[in-house]
Amino acid sequence: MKKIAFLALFLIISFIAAQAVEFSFEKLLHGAPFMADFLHRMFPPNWSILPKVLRETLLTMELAWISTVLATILSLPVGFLAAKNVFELPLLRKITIFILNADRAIDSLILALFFVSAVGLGPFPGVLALAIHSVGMLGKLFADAIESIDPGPVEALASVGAGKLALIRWGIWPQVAPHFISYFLFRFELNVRTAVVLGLVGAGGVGFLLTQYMRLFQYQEVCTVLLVILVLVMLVDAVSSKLRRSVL
Amino acid sequence: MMIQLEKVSKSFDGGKSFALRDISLSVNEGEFIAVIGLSGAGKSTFLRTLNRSLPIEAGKIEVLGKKLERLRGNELAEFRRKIGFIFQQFHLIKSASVLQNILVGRIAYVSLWRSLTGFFPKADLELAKEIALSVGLAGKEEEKIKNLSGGQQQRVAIARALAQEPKLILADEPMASLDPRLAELVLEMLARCNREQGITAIINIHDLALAKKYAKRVLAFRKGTLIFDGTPNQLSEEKIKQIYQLDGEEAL
Repeated sequence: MKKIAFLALFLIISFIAAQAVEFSFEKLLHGAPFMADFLHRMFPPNWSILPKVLRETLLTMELAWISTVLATILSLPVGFLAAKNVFELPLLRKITIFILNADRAIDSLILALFFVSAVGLGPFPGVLALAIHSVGMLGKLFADAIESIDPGPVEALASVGAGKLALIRWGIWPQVAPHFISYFLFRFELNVRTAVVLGLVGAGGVGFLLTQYMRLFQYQEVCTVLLVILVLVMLVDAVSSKLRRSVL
Repeated sequence: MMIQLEKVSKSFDGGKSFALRDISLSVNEGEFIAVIGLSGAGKSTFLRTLNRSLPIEAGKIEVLGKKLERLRGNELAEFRRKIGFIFQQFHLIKSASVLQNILVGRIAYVSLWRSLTGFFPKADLELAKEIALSVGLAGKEEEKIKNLSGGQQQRVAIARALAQEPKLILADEPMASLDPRLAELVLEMLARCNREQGITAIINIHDLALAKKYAKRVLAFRKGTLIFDGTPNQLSEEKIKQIYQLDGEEAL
């Protein structure tokens, strides 16, 4: 009975949502020839612009890298504040967790729009947006890693009379550092993908190049950019996951 | 007097049940004491109140001339650095070397930046190496903890405690996770520290035979109460039965 009720609810919600977004197979079918035409005009890709595309791709990766580094630096104190087993400051901990949750709820694209209007077009607002949004996830992951350590070494450090900082340095840090490195790499993977998208809203890099070619209807150039993005993302994922396996 | 307890009580649930109840005793410098009792009898709680890992609720407790109720911050650190604590599960920094782990015992003796960077004074390094030698870890100084056997790890933990140049060593079932031969070796080592350096030692031991063999004084806990305090010879069969009797066995 309960299962049937859930199924009905699921179907009703899906139906309402489909109506709202004007979902229609007819339109899809109608649009098919245009899509085919679009694809047709994309080939062959224009390889003469490759140096330029690679230059912009490098900028996108640099944007992702520096925002991940900034986010990690910010997430360190935040992670320790948000973990319940380090400082006994429950109020500060609750506030930190609330800020982290709020941060995760605001997408980096929205933050980017805000920063573009604040500091102007270019990669810098993208860096700010990505860095701040990444703290939401990294801070939470760092806090979780800190909370799941073996408390033994911490107890031992306390028993020899170590102060709070020495206790963190030797009791906690050696246990969490490999996890932190792994999370840094994982966030870098995500940020490379997001950095491409941020280019679309004016944060520069390969995404920005893509919008330019789209607006000028230069589909063969669009194709080159898309292929480079595909290879970039696959490469970063492969290298990063290999590195992550080796640190843990 | 090394340790003085007066009607000490400790509860983890706000007074509904007691982990320690009305404990009064004193310990002189240089004693070697075994604490026996079933698990959950209060042995671990007892040890942890002695270095103020756990605050007490009622009574008075004085260790190394300090009233523990009021110890905070720097004073607490200076108090603890004189007390070596050895754990059942060693509690070492697994990714660090043997020498680094021994040097942890010096942390409360050095400046903040030294304690954070691990740059210890030469004298501390010499001391750590000397201690490594004395507990049979010569040649293993640079080995990572995770590559050592359980017995070797417990030696590192003992070395860490010795590096504190302690007046008192507290050991909470230090042999419980080792095989019998190694267990005896660990006790032997602690007995030697007591004999040769005059370090007072209080050791929780589950195994009665070992307690009787090594200790000159035995304390027995049952349900948080101290029910025996005397020499091993004074332990009667009846007393032993009372100490190790499981709940509900009285009825059988």
